[in-house]
Amino acid sequence: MTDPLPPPADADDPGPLPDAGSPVTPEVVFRDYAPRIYHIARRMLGNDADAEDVTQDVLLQVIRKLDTFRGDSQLSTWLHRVTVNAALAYRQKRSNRQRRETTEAADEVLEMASAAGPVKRWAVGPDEPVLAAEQAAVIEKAIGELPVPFRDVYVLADVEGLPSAEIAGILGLSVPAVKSRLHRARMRMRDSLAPHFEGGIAT
Amino acid sequence: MNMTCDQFRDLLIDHVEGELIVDVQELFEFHRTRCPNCGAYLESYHYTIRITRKLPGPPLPAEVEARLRESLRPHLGGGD
Repeated sequence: MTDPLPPPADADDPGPLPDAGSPVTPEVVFRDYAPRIYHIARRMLGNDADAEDVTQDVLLQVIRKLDTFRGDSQLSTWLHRVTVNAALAYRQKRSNRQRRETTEAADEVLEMASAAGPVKRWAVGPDEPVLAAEQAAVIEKAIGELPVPFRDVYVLADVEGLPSAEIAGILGLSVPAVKSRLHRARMRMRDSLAPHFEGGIAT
Repeated sequence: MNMTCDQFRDLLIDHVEGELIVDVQELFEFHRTRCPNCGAYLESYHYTIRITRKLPGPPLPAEVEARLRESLRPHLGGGD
C-alpha cells in the first residue's frame, strides 16, 4: 500500500563537495552551502532576519575551519550540527530577551484530531507528488505553526532527510524521543494539510 | 486480537519506516483493510511525508546573499 519513502528533494542539494583534486575554497562553501544553512535556520527560527544572522555565523565558522575537513560527508554532517546549534543558541538568546518562552513545556503536548472521527480521503493520485507553489506555501506555513520542539525534529527529518539517530545526536535527545516527536509532528502536519488535499469522505 | 484505531495510529511511524515486526504488521494490515478511516489516514499521513520532501530549497534571496557576501568579504576574497 505504501511505497518506501523517496529520498528528500535534492533540487538544491549541492551534492558532494569537490574531491581531493579540487580545492574547497570559501567561495565554494558559500555558493554550495549558504542556501541550505539559511533555509534550515529560517524554518527553525521562523524569522528571516534571525536566519540571516545564523547563516553568517555558521559560514564564518565553516570557513575558518575549512582546512580541517577532509571529506564532503564530514563537512555536511558537521554543517548540520553547527547550523542547528547556532539556531538553538539564537533562539535561546532571543527567548531570554523576550522573557522565557519555554520549549520544554510544549513537549509531548500536541493536540491531534481524534482517531474516532471520520477521515476524508485526500484527492491525490498514487504517483509521486508534484509540488505546486501554493502547496509549498501551505506546507511552509504549517511547519511554521508547529510548536518548536516538534518543528525542529520535523525540519531535520522530513525536510532535510536526516536519520533519527543523527537528529538525536544533534538535538541531544534519545532516538525514541526523536521518533515520538516526529510522529506527532507528522500527525499535526497531516491535520493542517488535510483541508487543502481532501476529497470525499472515505468509503 | 484486534487493533484499535488509536493503536493503529501509534504504529504509523514504524510502519512507514518498515520497522514493524511481522506479526504486528499483519494486524496492522488487517485493521487497515477493514477500517476505511484508518486506511484514508494512513494514505494522507504517508502523502504528508512525501510532499514535504518535495519542498524546494529556494535559492538565497538576492538581498540576503548580497548582505552576507558583504559581511564575509574579508573571508571570501580570493575564492573562485
